[in-house]
Amino acid sequence: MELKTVGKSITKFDAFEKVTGEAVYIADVEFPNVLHIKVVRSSVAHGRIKTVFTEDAYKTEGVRGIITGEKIDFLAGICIYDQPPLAKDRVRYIGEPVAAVVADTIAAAEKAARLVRVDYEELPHVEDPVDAAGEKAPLIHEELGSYFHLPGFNPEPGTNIFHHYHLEKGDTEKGFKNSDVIIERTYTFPHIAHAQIEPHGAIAKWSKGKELHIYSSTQGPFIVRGALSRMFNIPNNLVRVTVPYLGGGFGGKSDLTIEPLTAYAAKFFPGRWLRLILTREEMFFGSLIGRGTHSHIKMGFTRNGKLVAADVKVHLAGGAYGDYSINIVTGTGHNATGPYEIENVNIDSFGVYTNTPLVGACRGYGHPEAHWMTERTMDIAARELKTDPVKLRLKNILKPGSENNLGQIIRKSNGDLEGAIRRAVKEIQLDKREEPDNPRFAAGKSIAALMKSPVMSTNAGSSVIIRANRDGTFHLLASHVDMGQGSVTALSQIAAETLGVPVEKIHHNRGVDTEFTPYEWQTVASSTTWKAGSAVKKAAISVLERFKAIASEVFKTTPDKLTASNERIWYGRNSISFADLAEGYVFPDGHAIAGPVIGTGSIVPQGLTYPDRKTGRGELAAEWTFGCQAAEIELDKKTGRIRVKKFVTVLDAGKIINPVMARGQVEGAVVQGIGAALNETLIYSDKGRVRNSNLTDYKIPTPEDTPDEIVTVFLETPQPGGPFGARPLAEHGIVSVAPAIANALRDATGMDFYDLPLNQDRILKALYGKGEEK
Amino acid sequence: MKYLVPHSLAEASELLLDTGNSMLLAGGTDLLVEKRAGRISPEAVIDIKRIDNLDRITLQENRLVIGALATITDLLRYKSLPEELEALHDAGKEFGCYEIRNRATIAGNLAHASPGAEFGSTLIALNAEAEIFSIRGIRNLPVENLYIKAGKTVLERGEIIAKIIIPLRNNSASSYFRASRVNGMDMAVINCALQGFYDNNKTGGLNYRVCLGAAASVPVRLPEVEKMLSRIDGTAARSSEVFSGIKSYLLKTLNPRALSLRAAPFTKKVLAGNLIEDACCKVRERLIK
Amino acid sequence: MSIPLHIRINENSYNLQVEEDETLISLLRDRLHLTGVKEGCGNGECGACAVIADGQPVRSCIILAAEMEGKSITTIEGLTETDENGNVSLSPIQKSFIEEGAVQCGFCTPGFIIAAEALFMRNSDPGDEAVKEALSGHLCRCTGYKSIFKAIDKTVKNRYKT
Repeated sequence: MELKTVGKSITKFDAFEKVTGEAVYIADVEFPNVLHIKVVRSSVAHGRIKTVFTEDAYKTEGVRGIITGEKIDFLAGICIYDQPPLAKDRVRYIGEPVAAVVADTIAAAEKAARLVRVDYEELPHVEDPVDAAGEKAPLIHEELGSYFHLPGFNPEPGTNIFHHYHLEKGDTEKGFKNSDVIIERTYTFPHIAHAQIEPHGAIAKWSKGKELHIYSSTQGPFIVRGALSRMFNIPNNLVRVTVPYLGGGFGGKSDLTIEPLTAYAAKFFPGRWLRLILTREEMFFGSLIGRGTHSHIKMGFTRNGKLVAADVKVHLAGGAYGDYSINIVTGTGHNATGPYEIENVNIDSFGVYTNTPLVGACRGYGHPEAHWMTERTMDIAARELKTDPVKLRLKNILKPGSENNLGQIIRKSNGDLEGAIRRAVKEIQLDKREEPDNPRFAAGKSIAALMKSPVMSTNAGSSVIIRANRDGTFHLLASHVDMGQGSVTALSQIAAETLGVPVEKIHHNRGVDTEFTPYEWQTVASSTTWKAGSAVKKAAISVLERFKAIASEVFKTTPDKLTASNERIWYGRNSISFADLAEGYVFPDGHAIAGPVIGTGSIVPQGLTYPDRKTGRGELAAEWTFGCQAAEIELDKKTGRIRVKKFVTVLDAGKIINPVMARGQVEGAVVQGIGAALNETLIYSDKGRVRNSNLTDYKIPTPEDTPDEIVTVFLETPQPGGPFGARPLAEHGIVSVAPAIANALRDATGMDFYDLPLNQDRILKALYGKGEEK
Repeated sequence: MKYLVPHSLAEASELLLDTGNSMLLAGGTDLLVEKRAGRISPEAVIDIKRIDNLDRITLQENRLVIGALATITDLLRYKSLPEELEALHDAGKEFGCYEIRNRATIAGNLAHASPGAEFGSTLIALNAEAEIFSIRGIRNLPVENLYIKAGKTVLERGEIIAKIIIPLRNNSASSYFRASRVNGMDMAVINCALQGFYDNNKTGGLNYRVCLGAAASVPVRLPEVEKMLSRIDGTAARSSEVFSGIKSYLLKTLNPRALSLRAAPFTKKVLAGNLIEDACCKVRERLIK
Repeated sequence: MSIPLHIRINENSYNLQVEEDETLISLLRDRLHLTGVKEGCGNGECGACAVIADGQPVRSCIILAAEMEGKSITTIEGLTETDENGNVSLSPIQKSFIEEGAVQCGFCTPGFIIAAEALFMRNSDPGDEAVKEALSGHLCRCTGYKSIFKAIDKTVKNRYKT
């Protein structure tokens, strides 16, 4: 059947309010009687709080209160409950909230916050994840063994390891024995910032001592609701979370961040709204940061290029609290050897407490970290094996019938990785070489393959409501957060297509309110179009079924004899419009039947399980998306700067619901990935302080840094169970950007890099530093 | 904080003297950033933008005079910029971004004394002077002697950079190059301004003035490098010998701050040599043109 | 202490008293509720707060309100036109941003549109270099910029045609 709406580049539903400045974001929300919070943050990376002196701060005009953590008797969390909303007795990173100053104006709060003095007894601190996992490291959480955690996670009390994910398949010892060539390398991916242009914020108010309403720029309103409900021991239905327009997430506003603190402080000022909007500086240490892995990989190949064994150890510097990064540990483990079929695999992925800001979800998490090592290593292996890196990949990729590390059998419907690789090779014209005229430049090209699965709770549910209106229009209500990816539009397209109505007849709620919009796990893992989209399809079908049920009464027949098309229900040549069925059908004599029509749709990912305790295997990934990226770069050997001339991404993302928006996701991910590949890294002082916590010192790509050409190709092998065959794609464009560029750099210069970013320091040292400095 | 609006330089100077911890406000692109960061907390800002005629750029017989309020955009749009001062144009193009250039002034860029300031190294290479006004009198100071350390100049209380005076030099050309981390708005990792000139009757070889920004806490002239550059005779062999000599000299002698957020010392030293080479080639190209 | 300020904002005249240390962004957002002006960094680094002052784009987070005496300011809210029946018409650049998918989260969008609008005010047919120059200090983390360049190109082409 020809699709009318799905597959078309409908312009974004919420673009009008964004180009006119009408869209209201968290910092634009205004309330009467509001109080402002300024957070006093720890100035030491690890220590005991001896005294908090608040007297001087209290004297500041306009100060209404200073909240500290001393009375807190609970820990917040989602997967592992390990963090109080304000530090209690102990601080574990520079930037940790120690007190919340509450005042009439933000200026007064800021002034007073500067006057709060905290005395600490400093403790040894550790930033490196391998050091932190070692025996000599200072213990950051002595109480780890007592923390509640969900099943599937494996803390190691008495160490800083808050989660150890182990995955094994076959017999690696045997595998390496049978290997002719073994490549062993160590890679690092530093801490980076999401650098969403909108700073994170939350505004909370308590009523009657037991009802909490919080506005937050969160990607996970229901996650926040659940956590706050647990923290304060109040029912789910008395916690209301409202999300206005959200100015960029990339994972940095998922899970729990500033909401527990805001809600806790607000508890002391019942009836008043307490407002906390982070500054740009605080976005680098007061919310979430990303990545931070140290990875060691050993890959064994037979002489003819068959990859037969892999052993991987990954240490993730998760920051001072592990709740937010715990899934990254597992995700990195799932993907640690890239899109290849390997008989013998041993993977140990460690989430390690470090005295740094908290690592959380960050576009594609687990995957860029893993592919940085595997896709670099495959290139190196090809050289050692004296074979072509494309051929080596094609020989080993997961294809229909292959068993992946988790024990899942890959089906044709998982997508066409071979096709993606071949297409990327073609688009980048890998066989064509042009040497730059000017010898100061070196040119290179290369590819890096990728795979990605969403890492999510086994019960990560989505639900959707569709309301039919009397004029034949519909309301679509759902709680995914559209932070620019266009899910409001894409889901409306799915609804329109299923209902058979023009997309203009669908209105989708903007923003989310847990009071009115139905449950959604959270907007992460590129899962909305695929998962919530499936719920939309179900809801639309249920509307049509309801229409048919009502019409069958009118036509005095059974629903199965009826069809829906052209916004009408048909019985032979007779028909009734959706409009007439929407709010109770009225017969010519005036009597009415049925009532307003509502359709609902609910789903959870099918068949996910917890990992097997011994092998770490199981149905852990609900779907896979395969692809390949390719870079053409030019290195200026005099400046040590890389210019990405052309960047190609080929993804088998199943049916593309909206091509322009899909391309926009990939282009954005690619450029974000280029930032991490070339420049981005948090810089710590000896004391553990983030030194470059602003956009002057932490440079993200500017308009002039976008590649000359970005090519995005979608293969469209339909995903069974995905709405109209759609598969996730929003994060995927970031996954193999760094290895594609580093492989191209190797091609250009013969130099191998194992640490990111590929900035001037690294490149110039490699080019000119021989014998000069280590 | 007080906000004061003088209408003459004299009034501005008096306000500076009369008000305790006060600062001049021109473009504000540095001042308000520093204030927000809590690095300064002036009791008064003295907005000099309403003083007449301070935004002029004028070409006089043998010099270019840039008024205290001339913005970077004013400079870039200035039609009569002498060819030999092209380094000013180069520096202006790299400065901040369009919107910042609309506000930021050249004098403010000097007065803020940031080590990597575009116009610090450029004006030093061009042998410029600052005309410093105070109600006690006017003095002229080579820009080269303006800096004490990062963020600090020799300006005394009540003194204002009123004009920047750049001498025109026959048979000369200039250029400015910088290294940065991204292509759009960024601070210089290191920058280099270079002037090449023949002596008056063009008998001898080329002489040079070279200044690096962000290589130390203040812009630094490199007399030794200038000497080495003057040995270039136009042959490729000699050039390559001179530049490699300069590069190893810089590796040995430069001592950039270890804790820079923009680049490691070694990086800066390598870049310094490469920028000097680029800047010198550009100057020679411009001279020959 | 406060000081008088006479200012035109989006074609309306205001006689205000502002605080000495009040920034322009604070005046626009907190006092006049023109929240289309976005604060992304407070440091003049991201461009989300750009407004047009007397025809020139500037960053409202690093300007004191008091500095704007006698100036005429245009914010994103001032770019749309409303006819006598209340119909809103978008400026060509706003339309192109929608059509080319140049809007994702939308937080940087007002700044980019203001920069583009100011560019067109000074140059009716800007080339690639002029466009790059106009945008170089604006940060967007969502789009990768390609669609933004496309939107501006499209506006230029449409203008040229008509």
